[in-house]
Amino acid sequence: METRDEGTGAKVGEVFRQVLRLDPVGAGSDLRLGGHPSWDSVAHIDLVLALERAFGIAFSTVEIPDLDSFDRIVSAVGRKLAARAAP
Amino acid sequence: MRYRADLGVTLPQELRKDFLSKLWYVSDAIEALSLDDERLDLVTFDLRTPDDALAGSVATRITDVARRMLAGYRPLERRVVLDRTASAPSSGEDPHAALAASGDLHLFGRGRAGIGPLLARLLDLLGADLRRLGDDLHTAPHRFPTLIGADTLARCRYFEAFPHALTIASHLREDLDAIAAFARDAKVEQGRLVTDPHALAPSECLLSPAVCFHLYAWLAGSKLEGTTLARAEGKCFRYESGALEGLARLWDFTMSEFVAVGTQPEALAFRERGMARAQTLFDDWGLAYEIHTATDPFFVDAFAKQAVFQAAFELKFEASAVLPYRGDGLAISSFNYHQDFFGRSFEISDAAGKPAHTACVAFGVERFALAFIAQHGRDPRRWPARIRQLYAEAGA
Repeated sequence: METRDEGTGAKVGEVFRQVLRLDPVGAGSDLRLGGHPSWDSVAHIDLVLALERAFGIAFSTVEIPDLDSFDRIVSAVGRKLAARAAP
Repeated sequence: MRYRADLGVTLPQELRKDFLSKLWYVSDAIEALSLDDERLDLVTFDLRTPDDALAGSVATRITDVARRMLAGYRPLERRVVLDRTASAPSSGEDPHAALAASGDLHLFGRGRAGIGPLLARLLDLLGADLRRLGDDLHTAPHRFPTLIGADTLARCRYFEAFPHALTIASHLREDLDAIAAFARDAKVEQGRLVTDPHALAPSECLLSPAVCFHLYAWLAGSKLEGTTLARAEGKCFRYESGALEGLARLWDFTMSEFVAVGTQPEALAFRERGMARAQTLFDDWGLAYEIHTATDPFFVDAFAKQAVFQAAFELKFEASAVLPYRGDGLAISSFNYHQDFFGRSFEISDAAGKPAHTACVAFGVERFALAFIAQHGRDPRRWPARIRQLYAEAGA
């Protein structure tokens, strides 16, 4: 379980670097939507679409604003992947 | 002859209208098109002149539009924040023909309407009510040109989001020979000006598609000391091709806008106040309507991403009035929050030096009048008491 979470976090971090040109680890653990010039709400949609492509998941419009921190995104992606893996 | 385009995908029902409105831009050879309600994976269309080879190419493009609009698309959950559609009054008719017969409406061409005495007086009353609404929102009156600079629209990123709706203005080049050739050779064929395109100068202006853009251009590069609250009414132009429809969807229409430029809380509070004040206006006019979340009609490639963006952050609400003769609603007003998009684009900063946030409340005045007449009829004696009285006091 721990290994999978680390893997998810690393892959989410890679999407952050590609889309926002932002290293979520280097930017600090308090990195939040709107808290950095490259992560505004317009770029947020690009980020969400890239995450969906990278993980093969989909977020609803209601979920998108709540994906407002790196940690929350890792958790949400993990939940989607777990739900998909469940029998 | 009817042609078919198999989409290869089934469109979501809520995407039907937006999809169809885009198909008019696939080819100017299309004369008619439809999407079956029962089969949302099949478009049928007619060409102005039957041509099997062209029809194949058009069908491929239609399929491509479906694919591109669905890329990244997800169901956009519409949230209704106010529903006053119950017991909607109905005049029992589509008023266009009767208004034309009584000299109150004249269509000069697609999307271009002349307004006669009944509607003009009604719009005067609405204008007075909108000025009172603007006073209540503490907005200062402004007037803006109908032309808008191409540079301003580029800063609004309008070319990417709504290229299909643009109306480009031009004039003849400052060239004696070109002007003389135009004067000699220009003619009109089938309602179109026929001339040498090289005689036209590169366009520095377009006809404005919205009022509030002028204010952002005015404030460009400035640092605000407080909130700027402004209002203006102006002619707006959005070309909608085959979707143009009487007063419901004009190419050339009038928009009354109320705008706030300031901090995020100020912009959001303005939109809330504007929405509440608009409800009073609609109720005063006895309209049946609802207010719900909405998205703008972005063009094909921008559609999914921008619509998701607007829906996710609830950036746009619309007031939709019941159009009884059509059995659906017509957007007569919108309440928009743009975050700091225009603040960044036009380098407008708030008192703290941060990019300003903006909000606007907009009314489509011809649509408002159409909804009122469609619901209450053309006879002032049957109108709601307040409007009837104001109409009488105006000497009509």
